[in-house]
Amino acid sequence: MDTSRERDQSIERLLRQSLKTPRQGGVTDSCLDAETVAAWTDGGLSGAALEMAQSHVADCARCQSLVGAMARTDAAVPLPETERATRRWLGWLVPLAAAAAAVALWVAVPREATPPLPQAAEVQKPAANATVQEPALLDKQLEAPLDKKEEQAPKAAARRERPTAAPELRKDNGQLEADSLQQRQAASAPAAAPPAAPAAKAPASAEASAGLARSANAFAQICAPGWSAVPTDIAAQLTAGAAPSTAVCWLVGRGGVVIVSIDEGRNWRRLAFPETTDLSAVQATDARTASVSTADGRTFSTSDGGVTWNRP
Amino acid sequence: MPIDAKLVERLYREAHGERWRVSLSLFTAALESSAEQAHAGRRLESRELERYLGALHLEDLALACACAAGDEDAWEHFVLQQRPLLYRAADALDPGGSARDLADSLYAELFGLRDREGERQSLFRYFHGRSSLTTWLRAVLSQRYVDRLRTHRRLDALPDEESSAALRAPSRPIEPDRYRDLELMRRSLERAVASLPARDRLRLACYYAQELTLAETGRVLGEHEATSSRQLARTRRTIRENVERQLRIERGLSDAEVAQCFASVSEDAGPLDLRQMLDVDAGRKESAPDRSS
Repeated sequence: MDTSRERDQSIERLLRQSLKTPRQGGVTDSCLDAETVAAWTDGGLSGAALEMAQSHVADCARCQSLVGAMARTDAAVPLPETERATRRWLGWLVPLAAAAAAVALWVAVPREATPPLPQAAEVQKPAANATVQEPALLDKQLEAPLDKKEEQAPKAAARRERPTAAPELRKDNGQLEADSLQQRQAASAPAAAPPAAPAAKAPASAEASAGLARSANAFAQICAPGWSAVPTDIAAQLTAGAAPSTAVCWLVGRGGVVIVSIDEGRNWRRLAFPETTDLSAVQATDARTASVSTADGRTFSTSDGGVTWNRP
Repeated sequence: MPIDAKLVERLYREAHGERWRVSLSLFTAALESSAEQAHAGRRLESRELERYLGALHLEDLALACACAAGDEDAWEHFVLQQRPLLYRAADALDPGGSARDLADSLYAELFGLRDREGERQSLFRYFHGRSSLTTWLRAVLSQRYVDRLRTHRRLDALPDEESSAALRAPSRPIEPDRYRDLELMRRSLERAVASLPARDRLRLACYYAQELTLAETGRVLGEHEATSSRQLARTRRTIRENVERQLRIERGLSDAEVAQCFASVSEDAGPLDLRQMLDVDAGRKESAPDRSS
């Protein structure tokens, strides 16, 4: 028992044995109520209130159990569409954002030192703020003919400037956020080294296909583990999903895309949506009832499986 | 805590209060109650108050107001929207289904069947919009579940001597020296843990006591799971150094004796499970599975 590593392992063993033994203790006045725990979960506690809650839970077996129970149910329940507060519990996205920013810098800085690139390749290279570019737009760019990509660039810049361009951080979209980041990084990678125009097309398409497959799998996981992937021709447009039961899943996306499956993902049906606006969230209670949020903050609901929609 | 009428009207519009026929006065009272509850009656400056109110889950607050007031449409919407989510949370708490009973029983309280001085009191009066309605319901359910579990633990009879849960003697007797070493280690550990910052203690509790995954622990602490992993490793080092210091300086043990104390923990785990045998939850996690996700 000479190495620090072995001693650390001994400490871990002791911690497991000592801390997992249930401690009894009644509810005290300082114990957290459900409202405070809920506010903490949704990022509604900050400053002194958050510190006070953490300090209490650190020493209160009952409240530890409560926080533990909340954490266990966290993955089971998707966040509601009305979620607006930034979730403190999703602070883990901060490192992702930092990584994305680092990638953007890494891409942007060498460009200043390199000579002008061939026109087609230049279009593929993201701008310094390309990390906020929407993945679907990237996919479209990658798939579009090279001579049209320059035309799309100003539109992309305009979309980046929209307040709604920053996606709401949602737990049930966490995997999608990660996938989106991967797509952005993948799309950025070929631009780091100046490729010849004809050669740039092939890797870009490959990356796009990989991105589509990733998106499809990610959305399939939102619906239920083991579901077959959603159709890849539509996956890149999707932005959010909701699975009210093990057999039913709703997915929404850009351009008014709403698809639903009622047979565990074996078949998907595209529903007619009243507008071609971008959709950002969906909440469903069954195969017939769902409410869909648009990127500009409106909510449409249906109670007849998408035959009719209630407008705001 | 009076709120500017124009601000109330704006928040009312954002909350779509008219959808559920919530009166402006009822909504105003809900906002005031929320602000007072969150700030323990402390009077807020107007800007601070506006910021607080603006961050509330207003639509959910309006829906809760309407449900508490007995609006049938609101209640139907609430049940349709929340029941599947509540059941999913209940199943996550107890896949055996016992938590579903708790979920069902919540509806009676939410509807407000219990009369108190002639008035219908709904559980919704404790919802102040500081979280989404879904999260609040999940917290209420979790609270009921945990309290019931703890009550049952207290009331559970001692296990039958013949049952498998009855206390068993260790497979082999603990040597006196080893027992002393273990006690030294445990006492030193308790002191070392007690000296940690609250946030580190909370992380330890989440991971070791509640047996959350690193990802779940990270969400509670508001950090990435990789950070949780690093911080746990750092905390273990801190504890180990503290324990070593206590054994050397306060207990006056030699390096060899300190090493023997640590060895008493790392050797055969059989006799070490004495406390686990007293643990009614023993068996929930005999080994330490990979909980990295």
